[in-house]
Amino acid sequence: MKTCKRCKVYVQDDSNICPLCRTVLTNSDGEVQDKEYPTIEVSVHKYNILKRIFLFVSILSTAASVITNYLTYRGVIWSAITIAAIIYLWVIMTYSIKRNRNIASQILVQVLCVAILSVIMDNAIGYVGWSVNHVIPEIVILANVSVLILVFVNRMYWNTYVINQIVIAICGLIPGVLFLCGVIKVPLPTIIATATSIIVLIVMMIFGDKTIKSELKRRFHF
Amino acid sequence: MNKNKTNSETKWHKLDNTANVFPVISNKTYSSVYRVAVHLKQEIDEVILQEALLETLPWFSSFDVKLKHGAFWHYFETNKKQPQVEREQTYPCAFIDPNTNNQFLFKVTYFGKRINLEVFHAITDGTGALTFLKALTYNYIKLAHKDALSEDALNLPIVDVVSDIEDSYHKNYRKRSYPKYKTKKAYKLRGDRLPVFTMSVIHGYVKIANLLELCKQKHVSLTQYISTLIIWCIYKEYMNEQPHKKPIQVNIPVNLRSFFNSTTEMNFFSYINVGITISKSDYTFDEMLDIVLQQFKNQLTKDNLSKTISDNVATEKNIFVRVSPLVFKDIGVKIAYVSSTKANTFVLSNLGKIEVYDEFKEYIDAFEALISVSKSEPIKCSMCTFDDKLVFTFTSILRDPYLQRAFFRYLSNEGLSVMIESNGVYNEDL
Repeated sequence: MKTCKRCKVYVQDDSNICPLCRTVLTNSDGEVQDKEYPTIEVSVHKYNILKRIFLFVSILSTAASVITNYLTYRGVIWSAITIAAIIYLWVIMTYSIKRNRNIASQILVQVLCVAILSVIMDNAIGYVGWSVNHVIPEIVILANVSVLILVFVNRMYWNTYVINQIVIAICGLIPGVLFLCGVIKVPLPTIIATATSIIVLIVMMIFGDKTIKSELKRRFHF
Repeated sequence: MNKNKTNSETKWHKLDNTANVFPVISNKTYSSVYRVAVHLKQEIDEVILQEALLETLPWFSSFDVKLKHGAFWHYFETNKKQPQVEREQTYPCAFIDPNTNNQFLFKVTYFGKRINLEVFHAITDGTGALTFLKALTYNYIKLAHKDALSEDALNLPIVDVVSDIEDSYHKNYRKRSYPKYKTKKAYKLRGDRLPVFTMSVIHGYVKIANLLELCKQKHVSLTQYISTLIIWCIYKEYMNEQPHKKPIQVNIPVNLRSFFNSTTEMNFFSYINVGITISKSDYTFDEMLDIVLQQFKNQLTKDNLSKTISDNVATEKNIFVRVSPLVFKDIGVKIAYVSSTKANTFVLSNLGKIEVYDEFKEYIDAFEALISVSKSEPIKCSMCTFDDKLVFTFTSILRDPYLQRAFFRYLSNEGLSVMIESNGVYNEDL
């Protein structure tokens, strides 16, 4: 039994020092104690370094491309693409890499980011319209189909995808609106995108009646 | 009771009145996670513990949840995944990220002979966690000692009440108005802090009979005696017996279940706040004891506790609060929380005497509880009594254990035999 002569207490630790006052303990019978708590290795440091390197490289390349762009300017603001791409990378790093994120909400975030990124790129290199004509409708089709596949593969978790699916399907109607406004000149991808979105919405209304209602009730209870 | 994996209707419930605070204020540095642990007499077997956990969980619908964000409030949804036990490998009471840990808001870990249950405060309070830990321990002992236990012992129920998830705050809400008292800023314990995410733990075991004898001499209850002792130690060690305009305030959580006859397994607790403004340099311990005793008498009444409940529930029920989006509520809650912590110097939580079935007593050594600390409340203490022993557990992020030292030295000077155990943080840099 180990004792601290200053505190007049018994100490059960595996060390020879009193945790209260750092006095060296008197060990009367040479008894050795088991460890009561694990030794802890903190790995937070490593992660921070990686993040800092990324931050440093991002700032450096942003500055470099803006300056180069400015000095060699010939009518194309291509540095906007670099900056948009770097921001996109950060969104992926902070949002999508986290474990246990809802896959459907990741798809939704990707759709929004890619749409914005493509519009910026299209505009930066002289607007041709490929972003709205092709990229946005096609990414919407892809997102709709992949969430549908998710639902079938993973029926148990359908309720967690419902809200995202609705939002994606409604976003899928935007190319149609743009077409009516005359922004979109190539109609075929837009027609397919609008059709898939409408089909998804109808499917959900028919088959998801109760699930959707209860999910909405949970999400919006007050 | 098997978990119905194909059940199509997702079950959900609202957070109770107090729970709403925790998802907002918690982060890596203030986790709002506390630990209740049990020491058994043999090394823990991971496989058996996992099996015991899976058998226990279906009895507690308050634990079998994940946290979701709604438009106006957070809510709990039944978690369809399975929790996984682990060997302890972090500091106690580490933050439980709602997106990790299979989205469960509690963790079961083990180390040596100890089973730890770490709980995010949003799902339940200490009493609820102890109920779960006891059920888990019963299941573990039943599995580990199948042959040694009698038929009767094996058939003992692991819980009294199954899945009672009533929000007892709302149940006992009475609409009424009364003057609101303003919270006074309390004296704060300051000092160099340990490295970030590091927490020191010091346990002190005493014989409960000897300590009760001390209380009896002074005609006070155990909690009254200990809270006075805490104030006394702060007065001696931190204030150097000098007057100070800010009072030393000890915040004591109170279990409301017995006051309001509730068996809920969600949160149902409130606080009382006892304190002394040091106005002279020659206080005696008995003088302080008298002041504290009087404050206990005034505050620890059903009427007073009921007022606090009604105030909190009234805020939640306010129509403007209800319809404001969750992000705005979060800001409001943060502001309210920060101002409420300013009123405390110290937190002392007494979990009381823990009773288990006699058949299982011989397999259990001790229970203990650890509360997470923050910059604003850097030291906290919990008390847990089991069998003939009481354990004080001080958790702290301050580098110097002045308070703990003064506390245990006082007890040993009063003639108590004190056994100290620590997690070794104070000796790590040696």
